[in-house]
Amino acid sequence: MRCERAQEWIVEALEDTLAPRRRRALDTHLAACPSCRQEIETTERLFGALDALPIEAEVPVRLEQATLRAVRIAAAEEAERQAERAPGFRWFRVMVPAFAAAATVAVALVATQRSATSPAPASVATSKPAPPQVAKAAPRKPESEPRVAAAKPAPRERTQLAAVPVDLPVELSERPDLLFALPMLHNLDKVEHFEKIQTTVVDDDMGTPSGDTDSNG
Amino acid sequence: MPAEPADPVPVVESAAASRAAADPDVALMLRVQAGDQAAFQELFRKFSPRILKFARRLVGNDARAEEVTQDVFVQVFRFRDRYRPESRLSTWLFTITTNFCLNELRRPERRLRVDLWDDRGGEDRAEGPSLPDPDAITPEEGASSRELAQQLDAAIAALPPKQRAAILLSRFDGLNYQDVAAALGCTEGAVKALVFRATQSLKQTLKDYL
Repeated sequence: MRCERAQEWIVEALEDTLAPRRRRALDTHLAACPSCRQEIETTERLFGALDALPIEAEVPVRLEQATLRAVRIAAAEEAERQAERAPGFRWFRVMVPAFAAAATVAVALVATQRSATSPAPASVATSKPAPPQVAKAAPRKPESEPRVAAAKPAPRERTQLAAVPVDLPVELSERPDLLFALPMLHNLDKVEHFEKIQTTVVDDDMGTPSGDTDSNG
Repeated sequence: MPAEPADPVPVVESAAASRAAADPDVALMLRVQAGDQAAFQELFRKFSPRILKFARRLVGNDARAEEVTQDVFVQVFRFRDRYRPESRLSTWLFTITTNFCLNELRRPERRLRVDLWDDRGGEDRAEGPSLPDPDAITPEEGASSRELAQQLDAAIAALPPKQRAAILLSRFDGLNYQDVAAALGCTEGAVKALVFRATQSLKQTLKDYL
């Protein structure tokens, strides 16, 4: 064996990764070659010095904080991308406001009809009790009609859903705090046929904790 | 009536579970994949000291090494679902780290500055060479060890990037040649050649100290 080949195998021999046959050949060469014996001793000292070097650094607190902050930002961006990609969520973003607007119109019409036909003020499930005034209607409502205050659902009238619907996109099902029981959404079928509104009583019973039906909203 | 057979446990899931049971690092990474934020912080605290030290030696600059370390962990988070329990977590982490470091070194505007032993108000003391028992050596021997460590760090910094990465990964981070090959994107034979050439260079540079 030549010294160049022996020196190539010295590193593997010290790391105990040299094949047994080659190891025997190397040992035979080392027994007869002082130069290569010195080479293997020098390499051993080098590896000893390398192993004595520290392998860990002290991580500054600011580095940890900056990293965790960057990860939080990445997580938020990821959540946003997933939400934008979800087709169900897109449908939800478009259709729910449309239903809500239609529901508002229906509430306004019911309130108008009730104030016209009954002495008691019309009850709107999602608005606070008010003197007989016409609800603030959707943009196309004629200006001449009287208005009621706060047809838009007041936050405190919202009832949190007891159970999250199962067919929601994952991102919404993980945010149950966004889902409210808007009473008129339960009567959307009535919105389709306006002629029925005059004779249909809006069902305001939303199964509130007290179990009471709040006819005044 | 015979009982309904139970649903078969997916092979992939049971293999991952058994690896998680055998390797706490795998278990930790599986928790990160499941969205456990505390697990990610634990992962950072466990591996960032080694990754930062490795990056400092490979990149040769403290500030850039810290940036690389941050980039590594953000990458780990972004691509956490790509980790497979079949491979060691440290191999995966150091593969990412090596790629970031080598990319950094390829940028022409970055010049390698060997400032590993700049005075930083004591910060280096925590990273200084681990001295032998002071009762067992003389002060001269201690000083000699420190000097050798300094010269060794400087010699490592002077190696070509791939040789530097190969010797650091194989000697410091406990990766076998197969893992080093995976981290560097080359064959085991190429890793052996890189380590051999790095060793020869270091011995030549430090012949007065060894």
